[in-house]
Amino acid sequence: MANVLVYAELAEGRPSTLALAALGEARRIASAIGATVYAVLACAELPRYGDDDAIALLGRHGADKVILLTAPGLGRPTLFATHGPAVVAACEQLPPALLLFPSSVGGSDVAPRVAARLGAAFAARPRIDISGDNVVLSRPVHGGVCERRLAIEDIERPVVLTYDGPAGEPCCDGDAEVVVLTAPPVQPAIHELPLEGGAQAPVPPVRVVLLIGRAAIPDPLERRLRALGARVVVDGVPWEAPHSAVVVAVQTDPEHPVFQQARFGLLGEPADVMERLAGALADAAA
Amino acid sequence: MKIIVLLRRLIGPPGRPEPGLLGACEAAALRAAVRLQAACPGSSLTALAVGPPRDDAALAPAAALGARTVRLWNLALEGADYDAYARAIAATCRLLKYDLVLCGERSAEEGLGVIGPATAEHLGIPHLSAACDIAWQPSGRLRVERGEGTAARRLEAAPPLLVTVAASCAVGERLAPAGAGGPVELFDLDRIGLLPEELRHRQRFEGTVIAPPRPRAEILPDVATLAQKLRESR
Repeated sequence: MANVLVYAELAEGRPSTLALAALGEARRIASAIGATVYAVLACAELPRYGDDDAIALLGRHGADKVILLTAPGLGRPTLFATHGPAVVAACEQLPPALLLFPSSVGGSDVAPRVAARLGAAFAARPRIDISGDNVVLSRPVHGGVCERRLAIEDIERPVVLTYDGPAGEPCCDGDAEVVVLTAPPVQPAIHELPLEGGAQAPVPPVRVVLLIGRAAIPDPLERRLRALGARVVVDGVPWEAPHSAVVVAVQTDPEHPVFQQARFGLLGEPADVMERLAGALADAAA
Repeated sequence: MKIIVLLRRLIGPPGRPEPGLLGACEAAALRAAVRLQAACPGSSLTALAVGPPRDDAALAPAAALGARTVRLWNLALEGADYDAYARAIAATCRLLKYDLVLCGERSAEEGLGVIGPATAEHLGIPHLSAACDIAWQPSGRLRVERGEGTAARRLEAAPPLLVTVAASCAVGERLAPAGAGGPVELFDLDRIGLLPEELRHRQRFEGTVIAPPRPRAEILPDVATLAQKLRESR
């Protein structure tokens, strides 16, 4: 039976929302292809046991088994330098057909390098279509004008992917079996430094992605929009929208390609529309 | 300090006009490389592209800044996936010698964010990803700041190191032309010690590009209607 592994990134001692989302997707895939779902839990200390502990939560969200690796250096931050060797160790013990990472900053740091270590195919934030036991990964390329598709059954290598989606409801009643593996020693060559000046002003999560083609808008307006949860994207800048964000295109020409990449569109000079939108978002936030 | 910056020319979708020369992250990587070279006297800067002759144009901005420019190409790389490119880049970096390798965080076309970490893996050196600020420390270590959702994190590491650079890095850096650079040096796989067979098999893992029919955006009459839609979508 094939193995589907999911990296269970922790946030404040609990599996992150994105990790649970990836786990739910892994459960859906594994049920279709007849695979076992392993959640890889790499942490600094043994997790608490109880009704709401990390292992119980992973079991309720679809893990058949939880691979537990503990070592003092496996705290924050999540980097390949800190957590990668533990994930690789899990893959060596239980070679995966598919390995999912949450599409977080940490997951996006660890996943590509683990893929390279495994010689795996790699996809970032694909749409996952399942038909029978066929799994096809599709992701937008060229700003959403085209899609690149990869059928998992066509390759004989493992596939590593990052996943972004809403965390589903708990789907399983049973407890996940715990498999304890020895974590490799963590000797990171990368160290965290304190940020001068204390905590930074929080930036709200992105709620709106605004595609404006090759237009330019003033920096102060861009910063104002960012503080209101709107991210402005011009041509040539790679972008990805969180699953909860709305993509909006703004251009003067209704035939402009940006309107093929967005859910909603507004016609007008981008700078003028952005100015009015900043006002509307500020009013809504007040 | 030997600095290598990876550059590549933007590729347009099939049947569409060519987009600009460099993606936003590659342009940021070049700005950061120039800043770090200037901050460490005696440093050298080499710009490396892996691609067909059209990629020479992507090296021109670096040449104008006085960088050595190198392009590697072999048809075995045509249509190959990230791993083939990362192996080829790593082998070239080894030949060129390096202390620091910089590249864009992710390409504008594919957006994978995989080439940098995979190259670091094949070089066997640490990597730091998504740098939005980067500077040398007095200790000779590199300090990197990166955004993590709604917060920031500051990290440091000593060379040899690979750093992937976010589009917002070194914005406003003045790039002063330093005379015409030399011609682009052409490397082949022979020179970097790889065989086409080592790379060609990765063409199977790249997938296929299609242009599916896409629904157009729902055009809204005004900003107020959009604000209403956003409230409803929460």
